[in-house]
Amino acid sequence: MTTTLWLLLWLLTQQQASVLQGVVVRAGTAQPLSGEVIGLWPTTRTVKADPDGRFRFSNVDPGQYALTVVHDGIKVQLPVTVTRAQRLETYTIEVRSAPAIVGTVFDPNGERVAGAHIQAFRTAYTPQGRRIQSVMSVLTDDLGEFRLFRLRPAEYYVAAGLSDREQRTGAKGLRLTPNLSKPDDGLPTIFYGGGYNPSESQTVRVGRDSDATGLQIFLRDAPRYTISGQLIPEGICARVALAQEGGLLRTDADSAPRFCGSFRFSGLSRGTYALFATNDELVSEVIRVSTTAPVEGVKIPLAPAVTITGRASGIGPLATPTTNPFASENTALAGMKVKLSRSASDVSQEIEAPLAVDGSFAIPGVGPGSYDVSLQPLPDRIFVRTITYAARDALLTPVTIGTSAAGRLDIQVAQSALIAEGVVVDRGGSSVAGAEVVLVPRDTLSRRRADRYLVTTADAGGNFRISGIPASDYVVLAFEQIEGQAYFAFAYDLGLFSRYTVNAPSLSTAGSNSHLRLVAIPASETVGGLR
Amino acid sequence: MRANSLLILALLLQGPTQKTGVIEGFVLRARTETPVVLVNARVVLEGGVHELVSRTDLNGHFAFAELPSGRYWLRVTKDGFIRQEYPGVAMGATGLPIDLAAGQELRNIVFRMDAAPTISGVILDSGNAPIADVVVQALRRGYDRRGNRTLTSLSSARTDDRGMYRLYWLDPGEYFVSALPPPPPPDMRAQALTIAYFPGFAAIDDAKPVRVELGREATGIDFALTRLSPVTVKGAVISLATGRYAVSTVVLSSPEDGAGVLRMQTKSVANPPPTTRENYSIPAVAPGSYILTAVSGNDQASRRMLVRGQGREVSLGLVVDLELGPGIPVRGRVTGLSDFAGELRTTRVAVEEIDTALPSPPPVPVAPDGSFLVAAVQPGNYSVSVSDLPADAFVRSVSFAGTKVLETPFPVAYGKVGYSDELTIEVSRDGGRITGTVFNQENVPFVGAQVTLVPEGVNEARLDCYRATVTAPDGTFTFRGIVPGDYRLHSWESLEPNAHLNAEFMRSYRDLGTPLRIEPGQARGASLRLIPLER
Repeated sequence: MTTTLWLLLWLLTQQQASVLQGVVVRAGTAQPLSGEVIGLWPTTRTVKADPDGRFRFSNVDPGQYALTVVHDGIKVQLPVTVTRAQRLETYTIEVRSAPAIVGTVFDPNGERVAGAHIQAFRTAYTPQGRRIQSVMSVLTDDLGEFRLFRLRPAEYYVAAGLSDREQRTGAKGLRLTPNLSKPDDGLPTIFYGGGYNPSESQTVRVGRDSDATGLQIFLRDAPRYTISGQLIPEGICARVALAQEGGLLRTDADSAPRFCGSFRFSGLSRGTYALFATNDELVSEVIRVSTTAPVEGVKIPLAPAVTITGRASGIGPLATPTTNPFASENTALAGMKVKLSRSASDVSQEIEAPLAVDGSFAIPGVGPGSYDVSLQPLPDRIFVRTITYAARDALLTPVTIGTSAAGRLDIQVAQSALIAEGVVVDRGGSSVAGAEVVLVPRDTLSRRRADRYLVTTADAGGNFRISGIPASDYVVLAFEQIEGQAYFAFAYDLGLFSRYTVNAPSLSTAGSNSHLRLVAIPASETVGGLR
Repeated sequence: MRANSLLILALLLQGPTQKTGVIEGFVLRARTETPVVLVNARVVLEGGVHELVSRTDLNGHFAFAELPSGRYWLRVTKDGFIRQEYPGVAMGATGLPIDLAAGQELRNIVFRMDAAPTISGVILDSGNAPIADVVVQALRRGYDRRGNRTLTSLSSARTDDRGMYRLYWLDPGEYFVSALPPPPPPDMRAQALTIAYFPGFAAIDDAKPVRVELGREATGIDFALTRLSPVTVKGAVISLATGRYAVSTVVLSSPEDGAGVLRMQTKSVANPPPTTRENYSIPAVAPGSYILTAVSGNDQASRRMLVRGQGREVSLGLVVDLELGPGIPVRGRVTGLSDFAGELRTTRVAVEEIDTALPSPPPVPVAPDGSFLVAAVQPGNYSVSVSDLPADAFVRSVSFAGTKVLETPFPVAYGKVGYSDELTIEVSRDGGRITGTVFNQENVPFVGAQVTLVPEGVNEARLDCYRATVTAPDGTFTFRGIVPGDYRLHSWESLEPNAHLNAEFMRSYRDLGTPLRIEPGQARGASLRLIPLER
């Protein structure tokens, strides 16, 4: 009898538990999206959409839920109510791509402008400080329209410029139609809102749920400035790169015109610029110039460039003598590049070189300055264990390159099987889909190295997993929403670090794998940056 | 009118007594009398240093005044229209220079501009989802400098997050549209997307061209990328001097794109692991035709290669070795002429690889004694050309190491060219001359017609006998320095550059040409009927 009662009770429970099923589609279309992870908030359950975009949760108890998908960092939630007498319904989750900024550029005659260079700038955090940084650029099409896409929700400055130089930089190797008129000096770069630099301009706020559309930027004839000067020694020929504050100094042939003896850049708007010259044998330092009037007589001294040679090697499981870990057949490490990133707060410069099959590399044309060294892209579970330059440790301090003979750069990569996984919940205990989970090194020196911050995004059920953790001590933080990489501020703001980590759990890799339950810092405490 | 300060300086230096000239005219919409405003009319003084720009007013009028005498090139461009060069030649064909005499006024030049067409569409991945950052190219079939069929990229664009692209303001004609996906992360290479051609094939031979007409947009040119197993291209780069592995920069590029976006690059190493014979490796190469080049200092090597993407090539990779060397010096002498220090100081001798996608050394000047040296000719097959000869001169014969090589290419290889082997170029001043006029269907002299002179018979294999020019504003044309022999003259309203070098193409139009024979020193006249665009 008792057994029968229990059996009857069990059968009743099964009848009460329902099935939730649905399909994930691209927003505004019927196009299914396969492979998306769907969460059942506030539980931590997740399922994966099949090749037709379909998903199914079985044995769902009656209650209020939200079907959740995180796509391109954007969280979509569809509230559902499950009752006892649930009719089998199919829910459709429409998933949006990351937001975009969309607009049109006009010339002083009111005509739409093709081939204008559009840039989106955002406050960027690096372990070296905060600066305005160009995050995406495109050229307008024949309709004068532009679309800056896959943006993170944030505030942006949007600039438009039209000149031969801007067009070459924006084209990034594309071949523009020969029926597009040469802009020559064109029109100076202007920001949305009408200013010539970010501080005079209007920001564009991009939210998670919608594009910022309908921007109109009106180019206008305005004072244009020139920067001219001499390359030293006299008569030398070199490519000269020019970048406005926040920009990237690029020395490829498309972005950096070649000059012999003297150089001249014209059609520039008011602002601060960085200049850099190289001809593969000689290279300059970064020279900074401000234009409030034509700038003449700038001297760019060039000195012999340094070629940094060295080798990346694997240790531990990556150092099997009979195989070459960097050969193309070993997809784990093939295709990596060694990158030198100039440590400067106002301008970016990156010099990179591919690794040969034996891990060796040669980075030519390196000028004087301080650089951070990295290997990119680092595959899953691989980390940089040591970096030495001229037999000195260069893992946590920048490499200083002078004009004398270069030392050897050696990089060791290792594999880590250490994993940290867990779930992110809010203060009420419900899962937080799409939360950003960050392992922040406790050691101050380690915090100035970007690849020591291990970051992942919780899935639709609030679950996260970080693998390949280098041995060290960490603080683990979860943010419901955080401005792009704002946690890098912990590298230079000790007060901020203390404030956010005082109650945060620790992770020591001296032990084994960890399972964590993290309480997310709510968006209300981090919108607009950490403070 | 905006003036270039350097040109003003040139005027001042000439002094007050020098007479200056005028070039002016109008720009109208094709087949109408409607002016086109804000057109950029640009004159460039030969040498390309000095430029003046004038924008057309509400009447479509442009003007350049106070021009010093000299040779000018006049071009007009306007966004959305097909560019033109004086005297009204469109679509990238070479126009005619204006030789402006002191005080000359060249007025009422008329350009008629057509609206340029566009191709647009969406690129999808193999799961039919739109894909961003795909480089889409409009590839136009054309002819290279040897008349071989070739594909050239006229314009390229990147897709946005909706997979959408616009290839705008093309020249009318037929295009193959290709899509090249962004490189995959290292761990995704085995499933990489690869290049596709509209309407969605991995091989260009299966592609379908897209035709675009003046002022129209071909929309809905949508297609999906394909998934094919990419291939690893690897091999040994060896130094010819040492016989050992060499450190070099190795580049794999598409012949259509030159130095554009379709490049893959790596370095070869001096000490590869003992378990392998290759010292360079380029992963994830999509099937197709490529030019592989290795460069180290002054040493280089290049070759064309084909990646098939089938069978063992996918699993084991494609092995391609290169031998780096400084090139072979080719010495020579020009006979039959003498004033290389004076009248002939701009004469140049070029030794050109017959595969136009492979590099050729730059043309070299001729010393006063007629000798020349092409310092670094990489192994390959070459032909010879001479430029800037006197107007009535022509190359009578070329021999190399005692063998006649004017009609056939000659090989250059390490160890095969002796120090005493010399290229002998015999020049004659007894070339023929043809002058004539081109008439349209209304028997009116036609400005801007392309006139071609194509050899027949014994000279058919000589590229230097193929000539092309453009009719002047009075519809006339002139050829000088013609190699004696049989020819056929054609005049075209519009002709793809170098099409006249392609025998198969010209065969279709043979009967529309005018035959004539040229004897040494002979001058002939001709009246030609224009072959209209529709033909």
